[in-house]
Amino acid sequence: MQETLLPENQDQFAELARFCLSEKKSLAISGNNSKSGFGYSVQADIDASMSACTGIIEYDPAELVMRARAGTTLNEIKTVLTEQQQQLAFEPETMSALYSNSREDTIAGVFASNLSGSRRFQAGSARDHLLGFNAINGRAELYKSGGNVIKNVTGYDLSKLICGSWGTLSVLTELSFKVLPAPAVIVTAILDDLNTEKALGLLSTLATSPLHASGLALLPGGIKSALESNVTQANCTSLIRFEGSRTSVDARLREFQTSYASQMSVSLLEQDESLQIWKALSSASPVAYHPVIMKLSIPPSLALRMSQLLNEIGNCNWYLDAAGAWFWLGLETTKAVENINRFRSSLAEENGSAILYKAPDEIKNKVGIYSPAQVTLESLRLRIKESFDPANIFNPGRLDYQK
Amino acid sequence: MRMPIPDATIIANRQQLIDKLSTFLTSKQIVIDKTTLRAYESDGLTAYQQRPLLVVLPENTAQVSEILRICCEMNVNVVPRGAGTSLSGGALPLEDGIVLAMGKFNRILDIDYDNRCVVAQSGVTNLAITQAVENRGFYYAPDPSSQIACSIGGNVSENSGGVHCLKYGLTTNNILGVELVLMTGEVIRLGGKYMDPEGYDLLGVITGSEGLLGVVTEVTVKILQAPQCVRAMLLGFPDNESAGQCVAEIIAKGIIPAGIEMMDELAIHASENFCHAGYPLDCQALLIVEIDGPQAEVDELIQVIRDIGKSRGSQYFKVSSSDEERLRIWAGRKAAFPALGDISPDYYCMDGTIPRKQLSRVLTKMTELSKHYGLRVANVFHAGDGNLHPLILFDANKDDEMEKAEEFGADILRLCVEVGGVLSGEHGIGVEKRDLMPDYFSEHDLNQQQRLKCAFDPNGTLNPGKMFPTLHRCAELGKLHVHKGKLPFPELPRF
Repeated sequence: MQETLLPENQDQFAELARFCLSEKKSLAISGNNSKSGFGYSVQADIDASMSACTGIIEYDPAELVMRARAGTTLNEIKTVLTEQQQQLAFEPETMSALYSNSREDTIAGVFASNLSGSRRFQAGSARDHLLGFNAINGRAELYKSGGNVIKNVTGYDLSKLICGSWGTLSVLTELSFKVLPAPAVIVTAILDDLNTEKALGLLSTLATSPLHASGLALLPGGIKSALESNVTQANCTSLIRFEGSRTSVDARLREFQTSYASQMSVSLLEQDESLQIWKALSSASPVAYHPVIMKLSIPPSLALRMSQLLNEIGNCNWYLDAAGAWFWLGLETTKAVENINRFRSSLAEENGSAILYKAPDEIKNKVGIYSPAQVTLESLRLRIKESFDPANIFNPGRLDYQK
Repeated sequence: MRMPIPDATIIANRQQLIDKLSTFLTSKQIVIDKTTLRAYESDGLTAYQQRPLLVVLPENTAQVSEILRICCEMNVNVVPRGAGTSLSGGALPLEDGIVLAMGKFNRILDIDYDNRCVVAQSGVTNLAITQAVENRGFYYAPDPSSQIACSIGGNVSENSGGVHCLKYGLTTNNILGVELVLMTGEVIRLGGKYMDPEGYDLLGVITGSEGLLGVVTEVTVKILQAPQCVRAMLLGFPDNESAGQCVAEIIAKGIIPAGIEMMDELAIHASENFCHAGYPLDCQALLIVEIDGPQAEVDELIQVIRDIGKSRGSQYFKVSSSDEERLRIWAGRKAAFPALGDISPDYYCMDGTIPRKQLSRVLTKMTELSKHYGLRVANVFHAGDGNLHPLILFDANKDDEMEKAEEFGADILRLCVEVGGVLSGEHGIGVEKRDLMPDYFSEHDLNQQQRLKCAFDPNGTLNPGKMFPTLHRCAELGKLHVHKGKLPFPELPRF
């Protein structure tokens, strides 16, 4: 393994990028490589990590904004926010279970991979919370986009493009993001005796109810199996999360039980147990033990049909999150290519996305980490890559879906 | 306002363009007579006018595509226009360009409660979406003040906000997909009725791109269930500073109200005289705080906010006891602009955002500037998210007041940047703030944005003269200048 360079500030990184440009070298860029299993394998001349550029630069809780250097760890940021009863509302959790490592996520990695957790359907994903950044583009120029305030339409919103670009457009050096109050109380209602169809119906009703549930998941196999990363399709547990002040949560729980679950047996998971289970759900850990992992993002009305298809195919385990809009799916390598193609073709155009989060290289190369896209769109994306990184020096090939 | 120099050849070829367009558009869809063209001379920023070469009114995506293809081929500039309510001149025409007016895209295509979304053509008004779903208790969250008139396609282009975006986000946080026509005429679809599309987030970067990257023909928006309970409070303060501190403390206590608005004395009086919303006239600053959610939560928070207000010296407190009363409270705020129009022949509405803690400094400086220019300024303020709307009052018929107002406005925006804020919170850059962009962005920052523009529109014919103060050729911007680099820094830590 080649050595990894650790620039300590953005100027050092710009210097490194200048060197790469003039010497025609490519760069594999990472934070702590906690999600290195995502994307195609990168063949680069030099490895560089932003993990030495650390530190929170600015944080005033009343402004709802934090600014930090790229390599600051997610854990450090969460700790500082928790002290002020604030949080990252999009609920990013480490994907380390998925990629079998125990490395710490960096904040730049969280945004570059556009992470989000179970609160996604209400609070959005990382892309909805990045307010601005400094970065080095593929011309070795330091540039900024956005700002340090929560409402801003000055110039193009490059934050959106950067989120989910996995270090292929620019190298983030400093990030400003929105922070929000954390709920004082978290309670999860658990229902065990509904079949998939009824459970989906309930989740869907709750998603549009004024009860404002902030987590709506369906977990075949139950809580224990999820926490132990051992989900099977044994039964069907519905999870409904309420967050807020004590008064608010209690009132909503009462209304939930009388108006939506009057004939059902409901058990409750209080604070810490609740935190634990949603952390597991947000990090894909219930299916993480599979060698092949996909995330399907679909119109919720297709959830029942998709669950039937998945059960019919067999040899895979799944759970559903975000009120029916997400399936996390674990597959075995046998027949994986055939099955992935089947899910993708069942999601006819415009009906969803199916991203391959983890798989052995030969499977990634056969089916692609993304579904095949419209040619016009594909060439537009290539032009965008070129507009940021004309010499293709950053993470070459990581998202290259024309393999 | 300096616009790109019109291309005489294009103007000379007007008839040829009309002939080409006439092969698939009816004569009613091509506006050529001077009188009708006048209606398109300005958008919501009426200080600037320009008669366009033509106005074209397509009825479907295929026509938009064909129009753009022809314009691309003939190198004709295109200015897309939704409802023409832009406050930054985003739809200001060009002498050598057509206006592509999307008014005929006025149908809601699909209301899908199961998937909690609505698919609408881009010319549908913002309010019409809410009206189409409110009988089932749903609504579309972003609510710009112009919502009765502004189009959803325009909202996407400007990333419009409104008074509720502190809690519910801007347009970008509330849409799921668009159909977009590129300048080449190619049609692409981004996103759909689901949350996480694959690959680079093109939907995200289209939103707020001010019609410079593509023409939006269809939008899929999220709809939300209306909250169980909504109540608005009025809190009056003896000075702006106390009101500002009250806002900071509400948020620091972990409360995100559905909306927090602040008005200064001049705005309070003008509004109250104009529409009698019941505002107290003896305060210097007024907060409107709206709380929504489950009944129990709303009741609890009203009490907390009342207490915070008291501790910050509020001299007036009222909470709405009915929805009518709540709407009356809002009516005063929403009428603030016309109300100021009532006390001054003209006003110029600014739109900077600042870190909230800088409010007091900014208001003090603004008072100084007001004296310096001899023009009054009223302030309405989306206090929750730091978005200022100073309204400079002037009389365009007086000698140099218009110029003075513009200079005053530019000074305010520079001040916003100086204290760590930005040039625009929700109205966009357009032509209005275009020349101030270098006050906020460096050359590298602007070049990177313009290179992105080149990826979408290599000839630069889509809405030129907006957003960027200097137009560069894409070929020039695309050149890669390589400086001899040296490796690195032996002192760099490695592992």
